[in-house]
Amino acid sequence: MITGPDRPLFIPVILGTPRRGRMSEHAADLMHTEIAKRPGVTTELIDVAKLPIPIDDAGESAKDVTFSEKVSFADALVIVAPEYNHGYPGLLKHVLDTNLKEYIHKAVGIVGVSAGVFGGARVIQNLIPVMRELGLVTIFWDVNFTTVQTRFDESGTLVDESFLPRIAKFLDELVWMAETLRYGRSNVQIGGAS
Amino acid sequence: MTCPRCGFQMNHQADKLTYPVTREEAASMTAAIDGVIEEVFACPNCGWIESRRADPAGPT
Repeated sequence: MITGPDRPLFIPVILGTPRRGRMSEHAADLMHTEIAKRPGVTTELIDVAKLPIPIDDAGESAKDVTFSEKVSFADALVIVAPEYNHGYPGLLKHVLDTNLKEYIHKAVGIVGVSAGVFGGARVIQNLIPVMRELGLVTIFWDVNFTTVQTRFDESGTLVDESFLPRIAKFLDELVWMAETLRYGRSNVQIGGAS
Repeated sequence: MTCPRCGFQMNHQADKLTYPVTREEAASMTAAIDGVIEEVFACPNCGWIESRRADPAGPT
């Protein structure tokens, strides 16, 4: 456990679909790589398909201790979400619902993925009210992987580098929000003087 | 509240409206609040998050 106010930010990436053949995995790997390049930031890729969360229960009683610990220590989250029938994957919502306090006053950025030209714009819009209720603070930058099947080669390497400047802006904003909210969580008391 | 991970004093950073999970909590709800309050604390030293149910008889 790293302690102290100057400890690195921890920004895990949640790959939000268990679907076989998912192309979102390439997007999540790319986001994880780009975050890992940032000084003062640590990251980890969390795959919802690999979390041992039961599906015969829901909410905080279905919590996975390891996942919850990671979210508790996180300063921000990046959620990579493909758009399924204009919505978010059911397993992503199921996994997110297993925590609550762990999210409060933390930053979140959403990466939308689709085979079509909207790049997950609708899944992002549908996730925003969920993020708000969970206590997460959304940033105003998104990353939209439009026609994702053309953006990566078969090995998962990005073939269109025009995405990188947008990812950089997205991460600049996310890191700013994460640092600011860490200060607030640590020093600003709700409803009164610190 | 003291951090269970590193022993630092935690900061009361949020009061989150949440929803009752027991009949007793549901019975303590008022129409105005429409839920129960979870007090959320953050550790300035290690970042750990803890919470507890607010006293339903306390100030709202």
